[in-house]
Amino acid sequence: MSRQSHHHSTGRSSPLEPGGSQAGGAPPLGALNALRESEIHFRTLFESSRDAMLVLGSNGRFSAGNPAARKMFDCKSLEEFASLTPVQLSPERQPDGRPSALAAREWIDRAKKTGACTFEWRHRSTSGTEFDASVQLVRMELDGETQLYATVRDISATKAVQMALRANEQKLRTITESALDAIIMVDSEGRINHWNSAAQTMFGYSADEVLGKDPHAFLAFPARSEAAPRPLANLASSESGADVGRIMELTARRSDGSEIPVEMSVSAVRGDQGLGAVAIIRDVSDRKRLEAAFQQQTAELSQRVRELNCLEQAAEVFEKNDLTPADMIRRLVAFLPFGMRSSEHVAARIVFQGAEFCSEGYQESPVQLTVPLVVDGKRVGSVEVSYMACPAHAADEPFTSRERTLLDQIAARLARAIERRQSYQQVTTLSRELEVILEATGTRLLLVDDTCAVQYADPATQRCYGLLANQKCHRYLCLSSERCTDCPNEYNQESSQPTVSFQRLPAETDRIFQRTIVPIRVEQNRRLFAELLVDVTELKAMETNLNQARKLEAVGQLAAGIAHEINTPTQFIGDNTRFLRDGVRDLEQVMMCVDRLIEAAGNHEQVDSLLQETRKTLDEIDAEYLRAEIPVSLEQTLDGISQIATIVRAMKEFSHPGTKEVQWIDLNRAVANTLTVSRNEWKHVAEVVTEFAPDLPLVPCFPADLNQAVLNILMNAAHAIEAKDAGNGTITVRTRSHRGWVEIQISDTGTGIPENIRSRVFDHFFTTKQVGKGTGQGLTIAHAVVVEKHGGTLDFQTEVGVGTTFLVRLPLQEAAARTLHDTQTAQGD
Amino acid sequence: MNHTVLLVDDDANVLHGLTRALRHQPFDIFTARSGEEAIDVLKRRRIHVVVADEQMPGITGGDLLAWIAEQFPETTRMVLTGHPTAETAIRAINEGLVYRYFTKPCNPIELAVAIRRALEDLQTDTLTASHDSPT
Repeated sequence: MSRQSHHHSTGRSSPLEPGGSQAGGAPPLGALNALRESEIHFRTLFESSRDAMLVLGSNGRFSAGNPAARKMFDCKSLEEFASLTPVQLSPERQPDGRPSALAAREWIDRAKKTGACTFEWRHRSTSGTEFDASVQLVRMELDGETQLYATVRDISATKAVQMALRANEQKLRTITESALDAIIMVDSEGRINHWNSAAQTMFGYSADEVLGKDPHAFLAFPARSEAAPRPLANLASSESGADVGRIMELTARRSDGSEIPVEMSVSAVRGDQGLGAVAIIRDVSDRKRLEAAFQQQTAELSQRVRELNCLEQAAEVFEKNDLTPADMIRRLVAFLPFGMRSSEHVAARIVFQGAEFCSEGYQESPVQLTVPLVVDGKRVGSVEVSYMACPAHAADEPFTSRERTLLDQIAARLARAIERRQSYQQVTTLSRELEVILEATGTRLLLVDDTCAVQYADPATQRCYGLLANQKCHRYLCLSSERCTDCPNEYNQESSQPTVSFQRLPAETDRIFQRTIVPIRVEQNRRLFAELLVDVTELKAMETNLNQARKLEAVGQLAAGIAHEINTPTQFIGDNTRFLRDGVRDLEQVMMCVDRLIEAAGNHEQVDSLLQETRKTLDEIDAEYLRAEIPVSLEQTLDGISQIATIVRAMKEFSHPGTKEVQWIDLNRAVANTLTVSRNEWKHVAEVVTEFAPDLPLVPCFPADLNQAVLNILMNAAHAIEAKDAGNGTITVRTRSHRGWVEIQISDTGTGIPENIRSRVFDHFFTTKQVGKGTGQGLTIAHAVVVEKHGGTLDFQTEVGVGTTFLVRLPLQEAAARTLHDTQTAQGD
Repeated sequence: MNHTVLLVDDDANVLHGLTRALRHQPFDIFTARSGEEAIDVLKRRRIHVVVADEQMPGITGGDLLAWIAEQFPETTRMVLTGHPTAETAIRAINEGLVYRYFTKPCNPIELAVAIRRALEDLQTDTLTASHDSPT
């Protein structure tokens, strides 16, 4: 350009007309020489210039052109070149679309008018090659003719470079504009000279707002404030500053004041005016968020692991049943802090029933979490964790909800463990006490499972038979390796009712044990059997005595009545006997008279006198009366004696001490005996009607017990009648045999049994009679005897105000009685 | 007029035996088989002494004697029972206002002595205080 301008100025002062006509008048010689020198100088310049130099004549054609011009436009000669017009050396249209002719005209006109102009032009050589050129037109006045002097420089190479540059820049711009990262460039002064759209989006400032400003002034990277306050500015001093090639994590401020975490990489850029910098900034808030979430999750996870560890350790401690609550708490408090986030800063304390248990280094702290310890609904202490030193992260929320939950759980589980421990202790104490009680009462207790394996045996049993754990109970109860044939557990499987039996134990054959087997459902599918063996030897002996006493009592109950039954005949037997004694004595006098009469036979005088005496005697002794009464009184006396004999026999049969054997008896006779001995109890209130089946078979039974049962029913009947209307009732007693059973039917015309008490008739000690009248045992005993002892049935039909009928049914099969007999024998009659 | 004694017992043999035993005694003997029959006799004739059994079907001896004590207080009352109980004895004394209490078996001589003493007491009463005799 400087050369051009130089050329231009030169050209202006010394225009050349190569090959053209000489201009001007005759110059002076000095001047002529100078002129020649100048001409040579310019011609050399003209000829050697690499720019095309041409002269455009006023006719619009080229009048001159240097070799560079001819070469540029591909002309062989000056003549050929001189024939051409600028339009002919141009394409149809210029790059801007205008017709070259029109554009050329304009530029030429402008040059003519203004004296000079420079512009770019698209040329075309004669060979058709198009190229861009820079054209300078300068107006020259020569010989009164206006000519234009043109300098044309081929700028196609420059143009290509410019195009490439522009394309490059465009590409770069596109790249920076489309980049997701903010790209900011600063010049050597530290002023922003590039601000892409991502930067605009990221920071909220438009390019217009920030160009030329110092980025540090408003982007404010606070986190870097101390370490490197001006990361971009640092580059000005050194191309390889500390921040180059490194990714910095910073916090940037956006236009709305909010801050975002960014990552920035900085590179130095050497520009025209020194060292600038380009920063590529990435918004990492999403990543930071993810990182934070990840960190939180990691923290939670590790907390969870701590919790689980803590809970697991706690569970281990709680499971140890041999630990006392204090032992348990002592262990628990030691590892409790490790369940907390900052275990190194935390200590724990558990207060239980006034006692304190602390982990190492515990001291009172204002930052603590306390959970009450509630055992059996009562607060008995607390579980605490405290921060010995409060770390930064714990300042806002010293304990997380997880930690609270953990502590709650630990406290709750501890409470449960203590409850369990306490109840375990209670159970232990209880079982120890129970064993003492068992021992003191001579009671044996076995717990046996379904397979008869012993799960528990009381100390006395263990002493007697050795340790029985898991051995089969029949090994010692029955000395058998097999399950007993009548194993109560066997038929007890589905029942929940206890079964009671009596047996002797092999090692203690002189004792009788009452064996009560109680099924216990432990779990859904697990059953145990509690075998209670109570030594009832003394009780049995007492019971035997009691049974005898009870029979005697029945006799005693009847004794007064029986005495009456005997006293009454005794009265008249005595009366009659005395009468007979006196009568015989009286008759003796008659007999003496008769003797003397016989001696005096034939002696009439004496006979008459004796006859008179005899008549007198007969009269005196009321012989008529005697002769009538003596046979009668004898009959009555015999009757009375028979009465006494009957009642004595009946009494003997009735109260015969019960045999342990089943006896086959005549039931009619037994019932008649019972009626006899109890006659005095019913004869004043009722008439007894008997309808005994004559063909009744012998019945297998225990006579004394059966008599007692019938007696009790009869007494009940008599009382029912007495309560209704004294003296007018009827008791009907029927016997019959019916389909393998023998029945005794006892009907009364008494009060009947009110509906509301019918179900209680056979209950122990239930009575409607006034105090002193009944013991409430009569019908209970009758029921026990008939049903339990004889395998029979005892039922009743009753109508209030009409009467009651009791029906005793006894099985005739000996087998039935025999089985029962065995049972009863086992029970020790 | 002879003195009259009424024996009451539900057992005929007892009545027969007593009648035989007391046949020589200076009083007339009447018998009744129940309380009802005894009341019947008492209503028909003057009876000086009643000897009653305690246990009888229907009206018991206790009831009978109590009734007599109220209706015929001048008739002397005695008990002859085969089944003596405190309960009946107390009732006989308190309500029947009995003169003697005998238990079976009893010696008829003792009974006869008691009856005669009762009859003598009656005579003494009649002599000392002139009673209106009921008809």
